[in-house]
Amino acid sequence: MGPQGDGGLNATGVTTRRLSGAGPVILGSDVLAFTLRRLVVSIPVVLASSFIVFVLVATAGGDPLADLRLRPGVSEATIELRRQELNLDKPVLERYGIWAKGAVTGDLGRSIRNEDVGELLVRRLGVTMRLVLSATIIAVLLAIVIGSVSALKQYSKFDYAATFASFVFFSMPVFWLAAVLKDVGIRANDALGRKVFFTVSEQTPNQVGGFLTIWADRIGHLLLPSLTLILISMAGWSRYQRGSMLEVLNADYIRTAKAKGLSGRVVLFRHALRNALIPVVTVVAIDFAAILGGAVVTETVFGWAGMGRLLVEALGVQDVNVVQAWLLVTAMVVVLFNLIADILYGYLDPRIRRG
Amino acid sequence: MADLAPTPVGLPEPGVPDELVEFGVEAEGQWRRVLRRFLRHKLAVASLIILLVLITASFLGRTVARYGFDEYSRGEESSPPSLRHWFGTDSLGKDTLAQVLRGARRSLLVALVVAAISTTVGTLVGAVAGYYRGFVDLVLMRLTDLFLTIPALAVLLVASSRFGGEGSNWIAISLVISSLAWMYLARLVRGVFLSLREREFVEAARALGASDARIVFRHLLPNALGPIVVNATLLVAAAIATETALSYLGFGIAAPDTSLGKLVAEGVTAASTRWWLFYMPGLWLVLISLCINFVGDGLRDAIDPRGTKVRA
Repeated sequence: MGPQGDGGLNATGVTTRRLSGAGPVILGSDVLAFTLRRLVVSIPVVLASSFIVFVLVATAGGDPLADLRLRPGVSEATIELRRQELNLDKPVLERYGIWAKGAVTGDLGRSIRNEDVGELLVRRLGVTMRLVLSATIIAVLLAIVIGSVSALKQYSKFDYAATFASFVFFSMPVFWLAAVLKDVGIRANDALGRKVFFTVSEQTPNQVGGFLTIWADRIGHLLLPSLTLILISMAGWSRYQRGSMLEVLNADYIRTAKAKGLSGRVVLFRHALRNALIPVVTVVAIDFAAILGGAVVTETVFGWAGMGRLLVEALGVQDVNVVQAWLLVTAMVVVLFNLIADILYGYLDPRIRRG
Repeated sequence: MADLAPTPVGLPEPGVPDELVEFGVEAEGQWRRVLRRFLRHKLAVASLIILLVLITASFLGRTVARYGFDEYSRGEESSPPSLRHWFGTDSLGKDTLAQVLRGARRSLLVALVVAAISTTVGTLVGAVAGYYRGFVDLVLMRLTDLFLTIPALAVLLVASSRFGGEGSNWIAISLVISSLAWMYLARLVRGVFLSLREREFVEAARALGASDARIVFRHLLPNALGPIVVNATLLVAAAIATETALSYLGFGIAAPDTSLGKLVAEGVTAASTRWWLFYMPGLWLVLISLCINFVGDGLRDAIDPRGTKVRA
């Protein structure tokens, strides 16, 4: 999200903006208490959203067993049995109760195709996190550098170019950018006459070889999808970094630090940059949910078998347990990232630490 | 001011114009100043002009494209952009420009409806919560928090997989998107109201016997109008992007209707062979949201009266 983030929606339609950042944090022995308090507060929210989503999916009116019915040689009795196994014959409220009871004990139920949802999710989560985490880390670092340089050289050519580029990328729908990069990758491969960019799937299936071969292959596949997410997230974040850096550079204490005769480097890194990082940390934490959303689209474009694809496929067949599991994991990741942001505040700004 | 501006959006200086309104003097000073400042912002003005041209073209449709969206050009199937077909044609010989204009019409309508609904809802919720405070405020804000913390994408996809896709109409999609886009504004308006309701001019109006409705609509709301307008502008761009993503995943606008998002989604498979089917609607879409974002940015600068906000 960028200066335009106030719209309340981002490129994937996820509402992310919050007025206040997270509350004050006290580091040290109180971190645990704080963490627990945050977790407790987020429980009702997760419950409420899981209920809403459950009801919406479960009452959608289609037939989750349509696939099974179409298969030849499946008897009416088998289908009826499956219906009962999946509790499809029970009222929605009761079904939610059954799901919630299972979820609390760590049992996420079975998918319509009769896979264990927990296992399915763990496998998919790894793939998605590989994409999302690498993209986020690179995007944050680039955004901090570009934003800070823009602020230090305000109204320079670099500043104008960075501003314009970030507006352009911010205005692009994720999937369009993803598809453009994919197209460019394919054209580049054709032009070079060999496969440089991988454009389909998260790794070469049945790849044989050592640890290095496998990871080289994975990183090759990671290139274009993560570039998609990097460009889009960086656009907004670098604007934030630029804004907060400008504000800090104009502050009195920077002038004081310079007047004291401190070197430019010390003033820049210890005094300015450190304080200018605080707003960006908030924005990155809050936007993390949006990146997960962007990952849904990116995975679809590049044919990755990640969590996003899992969600889209599950929605298509009203596989309520899978959708619920996705929701649960996403909600937990979002809560976790807000927590990390809160703890980072304390590190960056000692005033917050003292409460 | 700092305490009542918990957002990146600057607030207009409250108070003065409304006291004038009460005594019957035309209060246009603030908006005239905004206009003047906006006109100084060349990029924003240029974007506004381009945007208006794009919107006009989209609604003129056939007049601009010279072909109807349901018109087939025999013998010119899959032809690249030319003087006859500026954006080329698809495999059935339909003019791509005509499709793009039709899609843009639908995308813009969805975006405008979303902006209108969520702005209204957000303003109302925020105004009521901020003005009445107490229990009402508590309930409304917890509701807002709930909507803010829900992993919106899941709800959005679930709701649109249910109300969107095949056999749906665009109003249903707009409602789904709106339902998850009002919260930010609600908190913004509440913040403004909470601080303004204690100001002297409100007290004066109350002492003169003004009703709650009059205080809210004549005294408080005009002071929150700046951030609301900026927010609404940016919501239009955000809503277009959201509709695009939904349509691409198959949960948004469905045939026989079309939108820019759906056109791009259909063009994806042809990107490397018939590039115009993919790039033309995509560029049109990006150009529209780019212009809206620049206009919103210019508006924000123009409305921030302190002039302290750095140019974003």
